[in-house]
Amino acid sequence: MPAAYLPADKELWMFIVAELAMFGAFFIAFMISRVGQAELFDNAQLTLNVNLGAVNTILLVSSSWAVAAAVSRTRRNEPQRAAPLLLAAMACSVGFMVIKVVEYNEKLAAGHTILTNDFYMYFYCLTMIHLAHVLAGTIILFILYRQLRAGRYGTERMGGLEAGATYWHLVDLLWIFLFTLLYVLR
Amino acid sequence: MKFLIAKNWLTLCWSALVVATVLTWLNRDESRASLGAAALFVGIAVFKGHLVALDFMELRHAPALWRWLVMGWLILISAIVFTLYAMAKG
Repeated sequence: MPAAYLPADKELWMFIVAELAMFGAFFIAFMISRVGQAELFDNAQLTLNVNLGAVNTILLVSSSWAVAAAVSRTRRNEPQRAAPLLLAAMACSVGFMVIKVVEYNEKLAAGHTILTNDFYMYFYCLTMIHLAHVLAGTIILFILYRQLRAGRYGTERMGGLEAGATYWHLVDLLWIFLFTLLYVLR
Repeated sequence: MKFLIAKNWLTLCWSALVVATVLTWLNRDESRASLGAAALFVGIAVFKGHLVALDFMELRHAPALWRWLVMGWLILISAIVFTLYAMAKG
């Protein structure tokens, strides 16, 4: 590996930076809205289930670890040992999505909809946009898993796996901030 | 020892991420108390984000431009979030 090595390609990283910019703008918009109505945001936040948010954070960082370990094993030319890790990552991401649906159901049953107040408007919009990324990432992981099993990745052929892994880590990175903003800071 | 740390680096990062998440979860009621506690929560998010960016996304040994674009985002967004939090607190 050369001294400075960029996984995947520059085009993917441009996309990653664009995604970061978009979510960064969302985070700032959320905090600006909070300035004028901190009490409303704090009270609405207390109605969220922080336990589910924390479990989801652990699920995403665990899936990110599994994907990073799968890349590392494939680079060492051990794709057979990498494939189960991608399965584990997918299991975590499915767990994340199930918990999110359970959480939405809980909130809707309690009468907290997207129209309830600004906090819930941001809560639903930001987490649903993120959830769409989780869903897309899970499909990508599934494709990578099948390709890995078919022997399409190894020491000399890493591009696709690295690209999918980098996207998945982005999903994890964004959730770390969403968890702090929506569930913790008040 | 150095070899063992290097060999298990990704797992160590994962452990740190889980511990940081649990610490945040256990102390979640503290942020109402002081700006310092809120700074700690934002700091923990930056710490977690930096592990994901440098070690999982493998930016630690990437060209500086890409590493600093992501790390710069982490630092800038966190600074803005904390400033706006402090403004809301009055």
